[in-house]
Amino acid sequence: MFIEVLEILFLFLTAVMVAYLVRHYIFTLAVLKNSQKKKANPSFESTIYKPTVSVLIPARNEERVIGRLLQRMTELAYPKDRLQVIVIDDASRDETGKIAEQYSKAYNYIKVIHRSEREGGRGKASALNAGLRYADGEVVLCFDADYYPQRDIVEKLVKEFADPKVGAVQGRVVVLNEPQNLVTRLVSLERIGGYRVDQEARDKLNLITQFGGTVGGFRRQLLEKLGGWDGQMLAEDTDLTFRVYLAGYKVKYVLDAECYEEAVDSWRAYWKQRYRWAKGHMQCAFKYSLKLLKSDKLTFAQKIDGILLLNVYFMPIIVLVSWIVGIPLFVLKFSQWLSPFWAAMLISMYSVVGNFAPFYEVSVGTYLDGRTHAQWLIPLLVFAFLYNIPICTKAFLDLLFSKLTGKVGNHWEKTTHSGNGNSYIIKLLNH
Amino acid sequence: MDALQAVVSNLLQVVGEALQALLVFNILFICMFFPLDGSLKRKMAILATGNIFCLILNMLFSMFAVILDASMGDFSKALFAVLSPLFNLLWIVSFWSVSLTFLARSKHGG
Amino acid sequence: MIPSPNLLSMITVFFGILFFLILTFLPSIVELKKPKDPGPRIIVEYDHIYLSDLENRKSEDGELKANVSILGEIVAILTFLPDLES
Repeated sequence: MFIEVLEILFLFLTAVMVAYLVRHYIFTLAVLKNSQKKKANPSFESTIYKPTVSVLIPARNEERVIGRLLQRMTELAYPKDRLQVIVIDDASRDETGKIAEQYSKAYNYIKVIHRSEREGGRGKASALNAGLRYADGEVVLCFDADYYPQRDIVEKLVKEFADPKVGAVQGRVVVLNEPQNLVTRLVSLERIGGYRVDQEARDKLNLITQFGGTVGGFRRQLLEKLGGWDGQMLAEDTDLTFRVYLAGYKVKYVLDAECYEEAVDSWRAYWKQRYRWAKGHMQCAFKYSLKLLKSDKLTFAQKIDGILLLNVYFMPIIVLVSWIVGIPLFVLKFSQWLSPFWAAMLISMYSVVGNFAPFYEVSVGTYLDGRTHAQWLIPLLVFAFLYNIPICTKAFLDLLFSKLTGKVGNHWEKTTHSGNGNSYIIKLLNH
Repeated sequence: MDALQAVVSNLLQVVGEALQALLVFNILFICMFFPLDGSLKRKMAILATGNIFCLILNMLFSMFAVILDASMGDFSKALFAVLSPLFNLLWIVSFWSVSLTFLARSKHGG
Repeated sequence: MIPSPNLLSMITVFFGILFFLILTFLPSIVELKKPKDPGPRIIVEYDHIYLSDLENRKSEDGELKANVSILGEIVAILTFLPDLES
């Protein structure tokens, strides 16, 4: 009886992994097919559509990077009389506020909001909501302080709002400090897989395109109607994504709206960041899974994709559990109705083919980007994946513990930016 | 003739043992590699090379399984059944990543 | 109960696995030691002229301003039209 229960559990876990495997392959093939098509001309309406835009930049102790971004804001090609830049100095203890003030004095479209220690430091969502109160643009865009966008990124993002069904937009993130060390190079590969293939495929297949929290934005009216960012959620971007879709709008991904980011450069920082993402995603999974299935505003495919997206950070845990269950099952020998051959096939499927899919996604992404040797590091993503297993497991256990005990432990662990990306900007400008 | 028959028989045995890995490698490679831009000749050459690698490596894996089986008995079969797909994953991903470089060169006329 | 393996066979297997892992990760090791493609990827800045650059330029010449706005309309129409060469 015990063996049969383990077999059923193992089959279920394998089925979940096969679902993600199929999803990865569909995405990769969709992007490959789309890359062969000629790029469509933008519509006339989108070309002339130039709404007023408010750019929100939440910043807490970002003195090493904020100046670079604000300088870039002054270089944006978007008409300055239709642009408003709002820096939210979120109770910074360094020179962030002073640097922002200097720009505010020199440029009338740049505004700084200083939050005190008492009101600030409660996370990005809180800071963004504070900034939203001062935003008067039709469109609200967000950039993290360590980002460095294209000069024409605003035009590329806002033109999508010419379509009334678009409630939010998301641009592409490119890692700036990629050459720095192994961590940054692996993170860059993950970003390529996520933005060049995953997001692009979801957009082309009309599935759930995710707002990533930065290099993107919303219609201000919709954002206000939805109540802004939810400060209780660690993944406030994922939370908003699903609220947008459940309200009957969609998120549009703009592949050629690109922005550099400074990736985490140590395994410790990687852990903290991914832990926050994993826990936040899991919170959203508990909050939205049922709502998603019941919604009449989404297609069947969107519901399936939404469920898979919400639960993606459970995947490393599922792989771990399937190893724990599968290996002893094989050693102890299966019961009569599941022959060793099929058992071997199942084990092969989840450990070989199932884990191949994300590697292929990243590979195709690097290839489409015209990279020649970056993909040689892809085998090392195995270690990154293995590292994600304890991260996601801890996130799940902490979330479970907080739900059972009623203790809300959503402490926002801010990613520290070293400013190492500055040297790469100088190199790129001299390129 | 007997020698030739023995060689063919051994080869068939190796192919049989590597069948699962060969199947996975070829299906994935054809689905994922061939749609990419690049010289068809180069793709075919890379696919053929990959198949040879697959046969050689799985033959080596089988030899190790025999060595382990002599020492550890049934437990080695379970260990091999679990580790073999993981080893195949590692070399296929590595092979795939290097193949992309060769294909990219053909795309750029290299 | 796992039987104790023969020492020689275990050494053979150990070095075999080690050699296999080194071979598998060799491309990664080579790229890390002597990176030929370390990035970052160059982002294409912008692929068309921004009229806002012309519009923002201070000019007391009314004709220039009128020409700029007409040019803006023409560019918008041209962007909308299909590529006739395709």
